[in-house]
Amino acid sequence: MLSLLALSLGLSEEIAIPASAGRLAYRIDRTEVSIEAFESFENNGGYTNESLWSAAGKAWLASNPGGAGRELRRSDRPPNHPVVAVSYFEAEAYCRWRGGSLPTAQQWTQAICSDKAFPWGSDSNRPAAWYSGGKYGLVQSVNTQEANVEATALTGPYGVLHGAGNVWEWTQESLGLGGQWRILRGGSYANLPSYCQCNHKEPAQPEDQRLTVGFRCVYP
Amino acid sequence: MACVLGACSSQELPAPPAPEVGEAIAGMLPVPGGAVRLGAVVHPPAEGFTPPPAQHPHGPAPKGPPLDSQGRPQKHPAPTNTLHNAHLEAIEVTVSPFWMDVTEVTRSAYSTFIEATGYPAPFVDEEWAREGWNWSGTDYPDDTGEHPVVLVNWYDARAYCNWASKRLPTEAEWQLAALGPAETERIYPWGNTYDPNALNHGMAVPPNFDDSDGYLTTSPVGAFPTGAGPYGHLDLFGNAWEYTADFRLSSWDQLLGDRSSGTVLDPHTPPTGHYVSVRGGSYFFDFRPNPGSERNAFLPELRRKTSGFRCVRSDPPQP
Repeated sequence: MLSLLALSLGLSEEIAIPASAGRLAYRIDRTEVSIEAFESFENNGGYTNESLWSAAGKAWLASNPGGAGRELRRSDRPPNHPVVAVSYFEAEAYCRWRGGSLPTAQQWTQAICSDKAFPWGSDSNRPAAWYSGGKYGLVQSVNTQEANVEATALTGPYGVLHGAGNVWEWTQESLGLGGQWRILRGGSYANLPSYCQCNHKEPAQPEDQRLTVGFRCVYP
Repeated sequence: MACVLGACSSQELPAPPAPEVGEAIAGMLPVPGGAVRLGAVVHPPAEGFTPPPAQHPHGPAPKGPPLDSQGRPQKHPAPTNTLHNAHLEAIEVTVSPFWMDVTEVTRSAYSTFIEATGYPAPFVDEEWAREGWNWSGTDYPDDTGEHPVVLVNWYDARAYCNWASKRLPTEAEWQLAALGPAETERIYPWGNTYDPNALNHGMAVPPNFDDSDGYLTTSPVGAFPTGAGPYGHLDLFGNAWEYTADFRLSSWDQLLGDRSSGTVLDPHTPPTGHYVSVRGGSYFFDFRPNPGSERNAFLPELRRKTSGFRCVRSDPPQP
């Protein structure tokens, strides 16, 4: 149930993922975090509340006061588009502010696709929000009421939106012998379908603020 | 310019002066500082070459605003594609001395990086990559250890250079190493006359691959010694496209660097953007319709069978 306060802040609806195979139930944002929701975090002390930031996040914040990506995040995009150009540390702090965390690899996979190649099944010819035919895909608003019928039909097994395409999503999973990279999932509007498959894992430096990368959170 | 566009052939251009090639240390050669003219430059086609109809190596060139899946203009399109910065007047900038890898990074060197760091090997889950391109675990395709690593994206290239205590060259650095300082007006790394035997090139018409130079696709690095650049670097043109550190800009105002001396010293771009600048061309396509077509821009996340790189350092490498 979405509270009036949550609605006024532009926060996402959450979807319950049932317990399975010895794993606890959890909830996940139905959509990627919007620019509007991220600005609520920013305007409500998100960058100054130290308890929201991990040790590595604090170190990053010290050399990037206020996140430094504000211009890139806003640009001239509508407020209900997914927020992009956020580092791993900013995504992590936002999810803590919401009482949650970034998804683990298992949580992301189960909620977005379960055992399928794409959220909706195995068909890579669906006109999803990705790069195809030499053209950018369409960056879609996270607001389901504005998303078109086709996009609604592309939801995952639990009704989560835009798991494949639209923007990449930060996950907790790390990679590399020193764990220096974090894993992005789901591909983006600038990627071919193969990058948007559920099993594709894209390494990224946690400090990167890429224009194609956003995130969603999970909650206990 | 030494002559007006179209009013003379490239063979009438005076040969640029031969600069002094330094001593290589740990596979790197020094590049003295100098002035560089950044931006698209259109040269006359090479002598005796009739340009074919306009081609684009990756399908029709995008025209107008991006379209959605129903073929309608996107409501909120991505920023305009600023390929080649062709809409920008050339700007003269200055580059400090640096050191650059003599060759493109090889598959065997990249394999060492993968083993040392746990970084994923080049792999694209698409039909075209299955035969002869994808790595199998940490193993590159057979007998290609001395070929340039391709199937890497801009982030992969940056990760490799960081690991090697190097970095990707800025576009200005790459251009200085490849074409020398602006005042010499060099068109190709080896001089001002096109030489099909000085690089691993392709064709301007389909299928765009060509083995007249001995190689249908990539060649071992350094296989074309006569194509060396003014400071001794190899395969600057041809073989694999090379990532630079720079993103494409919509205005030179966005170019970062020290402007206190009336020029832009060591120009570089903000750390993110939609397209990265790539230079040098590859075994796919040909420069003779326009030598300036060695400038291109790629989406930073895509792994292509033509995309490779080399690294630079500001300080001399350790022997």
